[in-house]
Amino acid sequence: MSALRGPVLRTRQLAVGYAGKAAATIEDLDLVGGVVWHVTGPNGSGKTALLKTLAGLLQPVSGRVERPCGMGRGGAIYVHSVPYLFAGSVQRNLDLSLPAPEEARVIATEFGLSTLLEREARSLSHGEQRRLALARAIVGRPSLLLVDEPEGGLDEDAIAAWRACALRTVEAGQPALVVAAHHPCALEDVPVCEVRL
Amino acid sequence: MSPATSQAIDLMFAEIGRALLLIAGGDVEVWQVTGVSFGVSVTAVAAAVALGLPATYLLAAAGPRSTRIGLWAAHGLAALPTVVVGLTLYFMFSASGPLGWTRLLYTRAAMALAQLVLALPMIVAVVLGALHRLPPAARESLATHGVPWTRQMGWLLWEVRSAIVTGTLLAFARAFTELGAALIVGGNIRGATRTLTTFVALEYNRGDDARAIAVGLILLTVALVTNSLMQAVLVER
Repeated sequence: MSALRGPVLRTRQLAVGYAGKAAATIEDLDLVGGVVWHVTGPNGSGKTALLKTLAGLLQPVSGRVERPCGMGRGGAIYVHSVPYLFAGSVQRNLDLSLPAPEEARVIATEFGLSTLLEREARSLSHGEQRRLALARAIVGRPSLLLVDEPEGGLDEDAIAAWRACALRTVEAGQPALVVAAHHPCALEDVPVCEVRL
Repeated sequence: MSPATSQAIDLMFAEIGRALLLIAGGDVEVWQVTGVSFGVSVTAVAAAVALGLPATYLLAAAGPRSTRIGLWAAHGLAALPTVVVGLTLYFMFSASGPLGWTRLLYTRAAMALAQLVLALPMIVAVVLGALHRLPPAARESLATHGVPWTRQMGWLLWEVRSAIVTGTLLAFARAFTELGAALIVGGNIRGATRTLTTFVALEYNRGDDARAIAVGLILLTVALVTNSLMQAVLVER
């Protein structure tokens, strides 16, 4: 693990939730690149609210989030548990964060999407759509990647690609990876820090 | 069937026959008036699209409260009586009105402006409703991928493109077939501001039923084509 790097995100006395109502209070976190954080907890415990708050999509109910990296390409990117794919081809969705063409091609191949680039994104199977959402986030080269329930509907190949992505994160020292999941089998071989809600 | 009824039906078919001959024979005034109608309505609807889409996006982006207020206002204004719009603009553009200096009264520009007022709420109501129905994940996906707001507008409007087409066709149908505003601010001036609807009203008053029917048939055709296009868009969706 690369704990020597500076944090890409800090939280202090953070409470998260919706419409000003706290769903969870969070221990102080210092997220650094190359570390995988596994957020776990029962349904309704605030996992999604925490990830969206860390991503900058929700305001904290109280406390503060220090995120020097900002949102988007090179910053924090959040992947929904039910991803929204835009009308048009797989390639159009991969180009959302304006990656270099070669970069998008490599990630698409890793996630088994290289033969589907011209297909209408919404015509893909559920598992393929999840793979596309993960690939779309990774081509944005985030320094903080937040993934909500990544394994629902993924087949073994896709889970292997996702595991490879997590392992590469640890080896490369970036990004900081936060995963909300009940039992993420892809992370079994990956050293993780647990955040229990 | 009484002889009087039979005679009336024969007369009607004879007038429709004369009307079709007028259209097929290229009655100069009928086609000139059709051209003015299209010119004014297309200008008004193009302006309504150009103004309406960015305004609608900004309303939707400002949050659910502004969206609700925008929907309420747009639905209310979409039901504005055309004569009220015509009268309001008449008082503004009349010689003693606040905009009298523009000398726009009884011009095609004033008619296009009146039709813009009628068309804009239709486009805003339909497109804003569609944007409001998009899942929150659509906007969040753009934000989290760092897409700047100018590109976000393009991406989200593309998601609701069939609503844009539907709203535009509805707005065109409203503008093209309205009578009250065109009559009041246009003045039905021959060769200048006479449109299909004001022409029908004039010919009916003059008792030239064939010409009134000819122009009515053109209006009916445009309404049917617009409606068919709208149905095609909805089916494709």
